[in-house]
Amino acid sequence: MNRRRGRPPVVILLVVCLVAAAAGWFVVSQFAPQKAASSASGAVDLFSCPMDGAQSIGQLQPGDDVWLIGVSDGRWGVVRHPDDPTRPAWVPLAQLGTSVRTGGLPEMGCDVQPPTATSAPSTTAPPTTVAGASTTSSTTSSTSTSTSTSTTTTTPTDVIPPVVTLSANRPYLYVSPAPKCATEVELEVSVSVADPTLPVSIRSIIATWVTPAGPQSAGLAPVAGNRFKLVVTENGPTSGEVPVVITATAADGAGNVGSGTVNVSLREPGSFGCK
Amino acid sequence: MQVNRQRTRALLVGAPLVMLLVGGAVGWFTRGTETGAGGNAGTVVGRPLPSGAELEAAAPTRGTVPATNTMLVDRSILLGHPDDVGVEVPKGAALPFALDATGKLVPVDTASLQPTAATAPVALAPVAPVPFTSAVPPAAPPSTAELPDSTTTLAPTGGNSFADPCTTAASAPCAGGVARVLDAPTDPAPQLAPLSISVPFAATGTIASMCGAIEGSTVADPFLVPAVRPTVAVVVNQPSSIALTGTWADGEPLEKVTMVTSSEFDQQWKTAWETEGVQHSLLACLTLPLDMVRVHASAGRADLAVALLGISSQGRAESGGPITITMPLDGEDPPFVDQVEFGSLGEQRAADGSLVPTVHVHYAVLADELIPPTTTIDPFSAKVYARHELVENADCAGWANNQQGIVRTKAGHFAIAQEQRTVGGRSRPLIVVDGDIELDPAMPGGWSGYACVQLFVADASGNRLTIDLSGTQVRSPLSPTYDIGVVIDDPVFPTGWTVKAAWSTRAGTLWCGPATLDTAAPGSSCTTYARTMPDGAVLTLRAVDDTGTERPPFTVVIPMNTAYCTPDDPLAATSNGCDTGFTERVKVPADATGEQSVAVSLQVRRTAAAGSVQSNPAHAWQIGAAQSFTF
Repeated sequence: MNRRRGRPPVVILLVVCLVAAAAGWFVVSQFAPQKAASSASGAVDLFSCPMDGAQSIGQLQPGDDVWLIGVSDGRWGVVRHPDDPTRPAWVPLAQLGTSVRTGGLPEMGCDVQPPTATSAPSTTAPPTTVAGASTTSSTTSSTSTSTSTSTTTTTPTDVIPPVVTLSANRPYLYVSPAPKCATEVELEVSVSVADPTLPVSIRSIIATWVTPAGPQSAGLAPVAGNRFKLVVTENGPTSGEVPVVITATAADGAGNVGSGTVNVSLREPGSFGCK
Repeated sequence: MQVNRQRTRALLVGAPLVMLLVGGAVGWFTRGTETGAGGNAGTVVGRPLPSGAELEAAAPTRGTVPATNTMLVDRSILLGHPDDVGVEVPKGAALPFALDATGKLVPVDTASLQPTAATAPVALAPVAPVPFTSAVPPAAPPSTAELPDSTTTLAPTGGNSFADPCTTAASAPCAGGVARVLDAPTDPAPQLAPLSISVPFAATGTIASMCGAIEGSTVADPFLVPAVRPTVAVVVNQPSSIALTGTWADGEPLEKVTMVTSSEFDQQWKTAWETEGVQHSLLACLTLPLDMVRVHASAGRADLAVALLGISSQGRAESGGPITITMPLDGEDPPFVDQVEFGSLGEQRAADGSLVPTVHVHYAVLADELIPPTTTIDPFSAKVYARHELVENADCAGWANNQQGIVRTKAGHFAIAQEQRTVGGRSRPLIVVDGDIELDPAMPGGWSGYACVQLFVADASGNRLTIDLSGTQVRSPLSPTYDIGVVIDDPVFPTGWTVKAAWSTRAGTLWCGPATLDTAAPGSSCTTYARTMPDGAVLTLRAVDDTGTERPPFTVVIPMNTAYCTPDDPLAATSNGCDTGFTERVKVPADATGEQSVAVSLQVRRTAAAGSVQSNPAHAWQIGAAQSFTF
């Protein structure tokens, strides 16, 4: 009787134990945290680009050779993925042995915000022309007009016009003659042309103003180097002063043309006690 | 019976609990190893990137070994280099030899002699990206750089390994290098960069002062002030013993001598490395005896081809190159006690991180003989001023006397000291001027012109008189250029997608672009000088899908090698100065898992034409003999 009555509980116990073991395995294996990058067997995980949501995309075994193409944060090495060499994969740098000077490799990452500034830094040059470089280039070449003895090669990449800056030695000038202000009937204007593609040249410089008689203009005479002289003998204001815009245009070695202006005043001498 | 019932109940409750725990334990140890969908045999995918302590354990920050540049002397990491104490002199300004009422040295406008207003830095226009006309970029040019050991043929390892052509083919044109997966992570401690020795240079300015302190009383001619001693200097990146040999221009050999280093600085270096993991630089100097230099010199200048061999606890390194060392000439040339002397500082790091070609100028004048006894100058109100400029298209006489030429100075940085020195047997007051003149960064490498110094005196009535005009012909260091391009290289590029490309500095400032790439206009490139971004140029790529949604950015920081290629220099490979760039086809991730991506080719073309290292050191300023000009 005892044996017959005892069998069902034993079977039930076995079934319950098996169910409990299976439940324990299932719950833990499915809902416990995943293993770290390196598994107990020494395998190393490959990850997609480190950012939120990144996942392992493969695994390497100790002794595998990989091709290192970059680094990231001093923490990751970026390698060609074993299954897809064009796909970058991130591996702990500490898990790689290499003789490559990692500081000379590109840094690759996904967590850097793209630049938002729109202006170039003061350190940025538009180096479309490099003296001494590419002397065997088949592109258009010209010799600099500077005192440099090196060959200048112009590549067709310079589309930036030169920066033309004008400065006057005085903010005004008098219509000539102005006997009491004779030293101020002549205005000297310096023109600075900034561009890396030499040679640069000043193409024109002209002064324009408006009087009741209509628009007026006058050319400036070269003094020396990049300096020009303006003297106005007629068509000035009948009294007081009028604004004068002096405009210079210049070209760089690539043919780009830029211009700059400076504003001064043209004074009627009598209005300022200069007659 | 009671006991049996109690045992049965305990068994009924306890056994399932034990089995539950056993099952849980098995589940714990086998978790995450059977989710290999999509991977090859033995490959695990889909595990999230670890974070926090788990990330630190799995992927500790190990740091990177910096690339060597023996042509750059970075004073900011040179142990013992003094902080700048001078004053910034804007382009076109003059430097008075007297302090103002507040006790400061204030540069003045050359025309008005009034304090200069703040001037805007030299700002250059952004570069426009140049579109590629073909879908596939041209192949990278063959590199003349020394091949790393990693390019030798490596047999693939067994098991689950793969056969990447880059790791198995010796001739594969791959950028980067081979790495082998280790059994366990290496020590995350920072790695010491191998011993490297800079190219030799003549000590000037603060470097000369440092050499004076390092050499102390062991110097050959202690009566000379350090600024005018014929001193050879090098910079090393770890304590070492450096032997110097050489050949003078007349063919006479210079027997082996050992350069002098500072044990105090060596100790500071070790402390900084052990406590902070920072690898500073150290200065080594050698002042040659005047009697030795004199027999090989002409007009106070002697050319010497130097060979260096350094040995440290970590290994050995070689370096060398030609230098011109100067020595003071006999005789007097009032008001100068130390003649005007120009020295190359190569390219120096500016506050914005860029490298700026820089010339050093040094001279000392008699303070009590500066104002000439003429009738045109009121000696009671007269002050002495100096102008220091780099001038193009005119010599110093044309610049100072006739306002010819174009001033190409970015700025100057000057310090003025007053000394009492025995001159002609009696103690005289001196004004000693040391300064750096920086070249306009827009100028190309190899810029040529004049470095000029004009001393003039002006009184309160506006009378002026030039008292000296000196200068020399100079040519700036050559600078490599980088053309950084990207082109869509994807045969299955999704319809309607585009790729946005932007080129920026590491500080985040855009210097080129942005450019939008698509199948019609697949590529663009931008060019810059290496010296403008020595810390690297950032290329940001961002895929934009057909709905206009921007995918995560992918950034590549292109390292900039500012060394210049000198193929006839057997040591050029040390700095990899002949590296010609690389092409890398890479899938830019378009989502977090990288499952979606667009393939592009990155192309970096580095141009550094050949220089003649023996007579025309490309990495340094070429400086002629100082000369006087009429005024």
